[in-house]
Amino acid sequence: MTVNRSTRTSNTRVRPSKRFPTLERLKEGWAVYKENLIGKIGLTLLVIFALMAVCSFFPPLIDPMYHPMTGVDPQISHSTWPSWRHWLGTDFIGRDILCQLLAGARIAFMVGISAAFMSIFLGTIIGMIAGYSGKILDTLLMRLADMIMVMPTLLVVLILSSLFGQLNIWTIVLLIALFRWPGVSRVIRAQTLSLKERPFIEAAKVTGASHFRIIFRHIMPNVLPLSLLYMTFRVTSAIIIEAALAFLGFGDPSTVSWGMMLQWVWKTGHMFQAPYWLLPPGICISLLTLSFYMLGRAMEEVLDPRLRKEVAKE
Amino acid sequence: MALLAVENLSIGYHTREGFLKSVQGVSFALAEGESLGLVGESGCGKTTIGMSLMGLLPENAVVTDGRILFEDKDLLKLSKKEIRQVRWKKIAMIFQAAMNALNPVHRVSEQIAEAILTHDAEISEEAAMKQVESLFQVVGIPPDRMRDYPHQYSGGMKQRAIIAMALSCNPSLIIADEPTTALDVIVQDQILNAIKDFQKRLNFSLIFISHDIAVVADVCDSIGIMFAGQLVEYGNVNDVFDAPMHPYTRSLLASYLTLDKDFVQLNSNPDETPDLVNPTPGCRFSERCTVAEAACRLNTPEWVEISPTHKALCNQFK
Amino acid sequence: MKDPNKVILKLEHIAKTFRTRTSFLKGAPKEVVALNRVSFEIFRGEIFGLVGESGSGKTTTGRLIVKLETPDSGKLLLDGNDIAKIKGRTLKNFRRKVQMIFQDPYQSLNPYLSVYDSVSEPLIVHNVGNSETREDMVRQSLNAVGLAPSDDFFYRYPHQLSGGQRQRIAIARAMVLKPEFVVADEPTSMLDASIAIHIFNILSELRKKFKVTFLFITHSLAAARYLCDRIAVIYKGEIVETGAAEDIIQNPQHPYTQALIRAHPRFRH
Repeated sequence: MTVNRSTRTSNTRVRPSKRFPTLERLKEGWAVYKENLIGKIGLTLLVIFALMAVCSFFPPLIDPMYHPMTGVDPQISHSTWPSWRHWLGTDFIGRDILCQLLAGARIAFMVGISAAFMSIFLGTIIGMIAGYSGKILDTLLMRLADMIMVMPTLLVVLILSSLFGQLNIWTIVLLIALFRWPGVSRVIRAQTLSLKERPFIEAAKVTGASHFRIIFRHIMPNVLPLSLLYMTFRVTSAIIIEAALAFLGFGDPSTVSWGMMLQWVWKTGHMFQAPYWLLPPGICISLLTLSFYMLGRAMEEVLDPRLRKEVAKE
Repeated sequence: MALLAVENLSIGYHTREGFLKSVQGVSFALAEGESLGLVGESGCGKTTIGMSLMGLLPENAVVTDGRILFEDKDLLKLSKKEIRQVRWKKIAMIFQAAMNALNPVHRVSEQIAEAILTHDAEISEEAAMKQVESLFQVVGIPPDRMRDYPHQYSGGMKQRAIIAMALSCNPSLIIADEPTTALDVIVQDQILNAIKDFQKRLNFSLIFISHDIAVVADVCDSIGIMFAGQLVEYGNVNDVFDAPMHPYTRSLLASYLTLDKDFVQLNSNPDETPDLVNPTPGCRFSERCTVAEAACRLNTPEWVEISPTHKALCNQFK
Repeated sequence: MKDPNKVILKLEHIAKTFRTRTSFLKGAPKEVVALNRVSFEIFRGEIFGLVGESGSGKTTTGRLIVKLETPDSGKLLLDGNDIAKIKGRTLKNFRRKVQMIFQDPYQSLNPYLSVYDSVSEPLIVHNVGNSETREDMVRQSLNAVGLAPSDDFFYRYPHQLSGGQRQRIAIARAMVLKPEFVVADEPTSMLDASIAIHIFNILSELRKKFKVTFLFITHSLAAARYLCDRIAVIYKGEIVETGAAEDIIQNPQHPYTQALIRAHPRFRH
């Protein structure tokens, strides 16, 4: 019988070990991503912010007066304009604004990514189960999703915090996740519904795989890219919600976030007197959410099925 | 006088993996009323040639060499406006997977009438509809089905409608790209007979593109066998089939299962899809060829004339 | 020792109707009778062809046999046992014995699973072997379909392979558990003719080597003639003729079979 030679042979006979396909996929994805201008701008901005977040650890080590919360300049005890000592000036009790901005970047990333990750986690699992099961379970889960989706997240969290007092930052993250999974689950469910009919899923059924295995081994990898894509959009909403909460005075008082900074500007009546204090946090919120959004849009192109290499049928 | 003469045509596609040399140095000619079959497996370049004749190559395609002389004008040098004059009026195409070439939200007769109206500024709407009626008669669709929507047609009827659309502007050349691939055997037989019949009656030239060699043998006067973007054998259908020269032609004929003859297994290496980005320097078929010699991989093959109406691109027959 | 002439699969008066969903524009749901009292038997170790055009019900028959669909009425017997209502452990054992090769090699492999993952999946699902013995079994299966050196294919992904190679992987996957009965649903209709021959040869060799029975579903009488021992011709949900492959083609009795044969493209040469 004729024997087929593999067209791309490796030179060494490696003992088969589980290698990750992700690396090759990432390389392919990067090649497409690179061509997208919006994606490049977004990624650049994100890198800048990430550097900011990392740098937030350094100023307090240089001099305790640079600590964002407790670092009070012994010589200045009011709001001042930018100077060599304080590159963005100081706030109403003499704390360095730049350090606060850097710390805020750290918080924004933390909150944004954790809340997004949690809501995607929930949304993906629920979406897959709903799409795959169909009938009653699907209807129940989607009606639940509908109910949660129509509730105004910000309002509900505000009400909860006014009932229970100041909320811890992680509680806020959890609440955001609990209210934001429905959007993701709808999309994942739609994707699952179409995947369910594909021959490779039927092949898994014929092999005898259990429903659990089909969902997590076969459907999930096909659905994850979409989940990751939606994660970028969720990050934007999480950052904005946290900022809004902090601005309205319902944030975690022990954390310095950009929203918190805006609250201080407002509460201490410096709105129009201290643009060096007002503008940076506001601009950062807008830019960070914009850059995540740009990242998401560029990733859409990467994940588009036309990237799939299939033999050209002539 | 040749109606169509393709001279040394080379076309490539810009892809992420590199420049895909999809068609390389293809030449053939077609007289009025003659039919040519282009046969090859998926990826051999036959559809690209069809698209280039219609001026329908995608954005990332580049014609790197050659001329397409139609009625003595080089189609490759025409402006977009001039191509539109030629397309459909002089050259029409029956597309691959024609099922999807019909717009589902318009009635079939309206779509064909629209094709007529678009390409003929003087004709009136009633006259166009009358023409559609007579076309339906020609292709064999009952007149009471004229006002139906595409989804109400069976596969065979949709294909007939597509043929009607191709015939509507009285073209002198029709390019049929796998017109019967998705159809059942019995319907395929009917459609092929219909195409042969129309060709005789209306005397248009036909280029029939297919991967199925038997279908082409049935319909065409001449045949061109393509592999990896090149024509490897070309000539009168009877000559080529009676005495196939190129090893690829032989393997194609050998892998065709029939109902009458006994099947003789030819040894060949399966699955080697030729690399079109970095093609083998010598003969592109050498990797798969069972009679290839070392020299074949290095030296470009040359055309060998077996008879005035039959030639093959292979160094083994010099 | 099982009697080699014994019937391994028997269909008795199988009927199946599909109800199409109501569309906003069309009104009452339409019923399509896919299968109308279909009966035939397949002997152990043979390659049995089911030949029909699109809409004839041949694919539905295959799907019913692997239990991707359930019949509305009639009996499906594997080795004499009715498989209509089996569940749980019995169903799982059934799945070990009965497998399927799908028509579209571009869709029947999970794009996110490597070749090794896809072919070893049945082994993992049925808890066969450990990670070392599984590697050997996958290797054996890949060799049996002519993909060598098999280790080179382990960590490739479907999109890196041609249609013919993908279909071989699908066959390797179906064969890795050494099933008794395999439904091959138009395994070559999306492949070129030269590749198709190789696939047929693989199936033929597998039958000899592993004594597996094949149901070969196709629209091509010529392919059935090449590969099959016996053929059944199906038209609009009914079996119109059954018999030895060569007999049916030389002496077709039913007018539909005769029409099929007449319409087949012939070489004049």
